[in-house]
Amino acid sequence: MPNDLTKLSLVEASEGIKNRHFSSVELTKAYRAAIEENDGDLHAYIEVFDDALEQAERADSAVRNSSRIDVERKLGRVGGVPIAMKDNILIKGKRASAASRVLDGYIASYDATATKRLREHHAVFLGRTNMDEFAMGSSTENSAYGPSKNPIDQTRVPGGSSGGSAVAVAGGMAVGALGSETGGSVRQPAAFCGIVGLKPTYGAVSRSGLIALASSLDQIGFMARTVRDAQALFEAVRGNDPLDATTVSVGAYEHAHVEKFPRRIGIPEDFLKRGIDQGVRNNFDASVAMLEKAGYEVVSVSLPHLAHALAVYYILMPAEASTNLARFDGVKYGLHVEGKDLLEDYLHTRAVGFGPEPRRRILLGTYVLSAGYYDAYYNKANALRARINSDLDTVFAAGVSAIVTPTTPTPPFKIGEKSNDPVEMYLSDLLTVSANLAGIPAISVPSGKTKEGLPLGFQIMAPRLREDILFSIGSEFERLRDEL
Amino acid sequence: MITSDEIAKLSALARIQISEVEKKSLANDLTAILDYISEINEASAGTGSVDMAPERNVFRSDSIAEQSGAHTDILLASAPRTENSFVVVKKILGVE
Repeated sequence: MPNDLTKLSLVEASEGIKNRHFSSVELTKAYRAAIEENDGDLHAYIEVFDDALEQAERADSAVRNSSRIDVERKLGRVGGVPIAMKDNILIKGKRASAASRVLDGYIASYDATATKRLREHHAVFLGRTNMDEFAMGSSTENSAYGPSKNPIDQTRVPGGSSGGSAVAVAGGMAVGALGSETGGSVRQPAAFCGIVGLKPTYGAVSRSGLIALASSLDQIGFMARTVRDAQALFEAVRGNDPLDATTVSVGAYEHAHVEKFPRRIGIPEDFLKRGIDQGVRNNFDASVAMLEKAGYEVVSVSLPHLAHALAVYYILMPAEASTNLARFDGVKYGLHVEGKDLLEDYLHTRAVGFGPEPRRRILLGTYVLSAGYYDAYYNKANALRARINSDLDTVFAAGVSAIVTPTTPTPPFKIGEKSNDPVEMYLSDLLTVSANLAGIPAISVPSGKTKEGLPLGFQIMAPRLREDILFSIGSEFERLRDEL
Repeated sequence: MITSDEIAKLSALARIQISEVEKKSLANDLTAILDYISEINEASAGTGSVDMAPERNVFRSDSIAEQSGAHTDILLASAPRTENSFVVVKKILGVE
């Protein structure tokens, strides 16, 4: 048995359990000890589950009571491994709050489909992780439970909104984690914390049981230390689900993956000319040079409408959020604040329940959807989204297998640095929102550090259903990086 | 430029009570955000829209999926106020 089980990758850990080199209970205990030691400072978790060891015992008993062949089928590549879950993904019988007071006291009455699929493979849920309230934010400072801290530099943010999940993995307090993406909420914190973050194709993973932010953009994503680990989590939960009508079948993937792809990557040079920190740009150029040296053809691609992606995103996302969050009214679940009549119940419950950022976005969404502004904002943004998507389609159709950019325009920033300036905070999402608008898969892979030692990420985006391209280029990137 | 009066109107539509002090700060925030997102006015996009759903005509089978009452207790347990098998809300008829 290795001395420190928490140093193993997810795939190694799962192999170790299946081959009985160590047990899920031993591994889970090691992670519990790491949480005990470090989470007081880092605050990755809102709640650590007291039944994690019981879950691990069930995984061990599944290993003990199975033949070698059976154990592979039962545990897959995630069986027995301790995973952290973002606090907006439901686990039956556990509290779920989306880091909001408006869900005070809410206990999930069902499993999210992603939860169910992990549970069927005997994954162990360690706890629920901190996040920006309702996944609205890029720093995890918008949590009703206080901010999480970046494990590499505790004066800095871990990114967001899936900041707690990123801290759990980067801080050695979970072997992998689930997060959610609406505009970069998995990739951006992964980049800030020096881990891998995967946002799958829209429709690849069921959102049943994911607390909705903006339904045309939302997707469950995966955080881990290696590309292969993120792939293992993705493959364990993906696939068609009758409870989410947008999901695609695994068969659609088999159809998409028959084609081999050319080793050609595109850089949207015009788009990257503005708003990118020089240290980030230098790191990105070095990453591209590394791939070029390994035999990739690098071409400049034209995506003329990409410059509008962030504005389009900050119209469509609040519009959808304002409608999705209408359900939190103090009647069916969560917080209830008493008023003199039903209308006052609503007004008070929502005033006390929602923090500043959800209020801002709900009002902004209400504004862009109101009769006088609907055409100028919402419809216009939708039309531009169609242009952005067709720009991307054109580039991919011309034989470019993947588009690459830095994941974030800056390294991780200081806690409090951007919290009073919403527009400044929104600019953090500059490079990630396009993949959500277009529904294409994207991954952030650690690409080294700034002079100050702050982690940076390299983003790869591929056509719909082509996660295989991300895994192939991503794994090669990791290997080349580690050889340097 | 968003005014405090417009914030009052939006907050009424969104069913969120907002204090006078916060109306001013929200008016500033929304003005800054709208300044930023209004850059789309300069883009020409034509008309068009996006349909994100990759699958078409996804229907459930026309059959009884759940036994009546199977989830009643667990769902009612989440509600702040219940009486027998009902969620309690305040009367809305006859109220001005």
